[in-house]
Amino acid sequence: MSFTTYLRDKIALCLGLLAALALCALILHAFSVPIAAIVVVCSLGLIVFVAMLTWSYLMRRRFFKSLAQTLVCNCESTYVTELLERPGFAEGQLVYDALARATKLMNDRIASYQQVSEEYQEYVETWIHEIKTPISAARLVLANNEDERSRALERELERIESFVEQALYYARSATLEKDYAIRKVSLDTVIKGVVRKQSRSFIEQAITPHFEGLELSVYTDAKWLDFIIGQIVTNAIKYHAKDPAGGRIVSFSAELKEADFETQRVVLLIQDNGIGIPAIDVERVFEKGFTGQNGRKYSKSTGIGLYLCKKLCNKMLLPLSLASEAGRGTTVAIEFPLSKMHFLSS
Amino acid sequence: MFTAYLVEDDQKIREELSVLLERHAYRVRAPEQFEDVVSGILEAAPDVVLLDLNLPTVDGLVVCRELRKASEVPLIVVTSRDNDLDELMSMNLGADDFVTKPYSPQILLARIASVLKRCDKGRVSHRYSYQGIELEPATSMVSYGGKSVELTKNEMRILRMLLEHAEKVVLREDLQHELWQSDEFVDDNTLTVNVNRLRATLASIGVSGFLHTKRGMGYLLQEVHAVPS
Repeated sequence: MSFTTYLRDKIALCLGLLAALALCALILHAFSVPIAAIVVVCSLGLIVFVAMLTWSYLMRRRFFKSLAQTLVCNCESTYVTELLERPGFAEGQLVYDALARATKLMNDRIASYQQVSEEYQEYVETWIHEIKTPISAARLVLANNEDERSRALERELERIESFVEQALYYARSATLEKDYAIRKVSLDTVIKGVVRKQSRSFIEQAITPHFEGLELSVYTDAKWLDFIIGQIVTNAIKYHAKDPAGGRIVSFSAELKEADFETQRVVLLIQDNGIGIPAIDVERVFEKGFTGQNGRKYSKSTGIGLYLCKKLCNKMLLPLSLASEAGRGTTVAIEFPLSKMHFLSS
Repeated sequence: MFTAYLVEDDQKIREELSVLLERHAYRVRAPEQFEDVVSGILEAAPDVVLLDLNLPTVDGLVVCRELRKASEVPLIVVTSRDNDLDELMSMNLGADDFVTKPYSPQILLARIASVLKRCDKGRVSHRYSYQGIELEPATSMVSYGGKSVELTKNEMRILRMLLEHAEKVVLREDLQHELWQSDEFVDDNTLTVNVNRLRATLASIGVSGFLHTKRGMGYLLQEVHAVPS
């Protein structure tokens, strides 16, 4: 608050005072007080007034300046009153008290919602761990009773598991910080694990996996990578083409790019020769809830899988991209920077 | 024959896992009370222990630690708690392997076999036989009428599967699935090639007329004169 703003605000007061002084001077003059005495009285009054005005301005300036500063430099503006001194003037105190009440209400609400969402998240996580027991039991029952029906059920279980896993990562994605650890991970182990897990679906659709260059290791969280690749593979299987030349293929290939130490990275490509994604949809595949033409035409999809992949990759600072041509297939690329500086600097 | 000791509080899993393990030639002991798991294990003196971490009365990690004070029995931790900390703790407390639910039964069997092998107990492995054909999976040797020959890994796996389901049709997709579980991602054509090679290898020791192709379905291992025409 500049002094002129303050003066403009107090303009009525100043005009009133000047009028009062003028009236005073007139009355004194009427009582034939000497002009010099009138000037002295009026000047004294003016001086005192200006002094009072300046003092009150300084007090207000101090308060509003610190208020503005706290609001600017502190992003937790709901705690603004905790960081401010209660001012010594009436309007300031009113503002301060109102602010204090409003922010307290706000903070209480935030805390209660936070608690609700944390409890819900905890419940979802526990539920997911609980559901794994019956899924395991079901798998064992099927393994002990192999026939035509058990194979069909086994495939459905593979799908259920994939959805359960998606829910787990969705619940966790709200507070991703807490459970990932970047380690050296063998691409071969993770990728073959994913293919094994979804082998029934691969075989049912007669899709052949191809592997190339997977002896490379990358720095990432193994479980997250397992989930990400699992989601991408699920899509590749789901959106297979009817009769592509050379048979249905999902190929996994890794390559070391750029020998320069700083930018050295491993690029993992997951390629399929499925139905591909129409050009207008490609841009939006990582959006939450986006299903596009394929999602509508072929089978119902949630639009969550790739969104989560992107979110997890972003968290681990791994660039994830997707290219596709309708009718030709889809390629998903994940880049794994090798230099440790990449993680330190970001 | 190996004895597996199952510490698992979920009744269905306990039952089905017992059936699975028994079908794969393990003797199974599985307690239904968990008050004193450790002494139960020590009494039973099994060859391998499968331990669930989430037990009703006692924490699995405590069992792990107590057990290690008294015994070096191979121990596989099986749990649905898939966090790194549990895995680390289990390994630090002396578990030999860590498997998270939901596991595929084949993977679990493979893990058990590999732990047994690592602990030097796997040498006397289970043999499969049918009408004089003997398969020793540990060495990949198949013998018949005094002659024997070594099989490749894939041939061995296919033959083992056929012997396990002797006189029943084994579907191509089941054979494929079985091979995929050992990271042999064969496609349909390669499977045919592998089976034909197996047939030739078997013929070299005089096993012929046993392995029949069921067009469009799979394969059948049966002595020829027993096949209904």
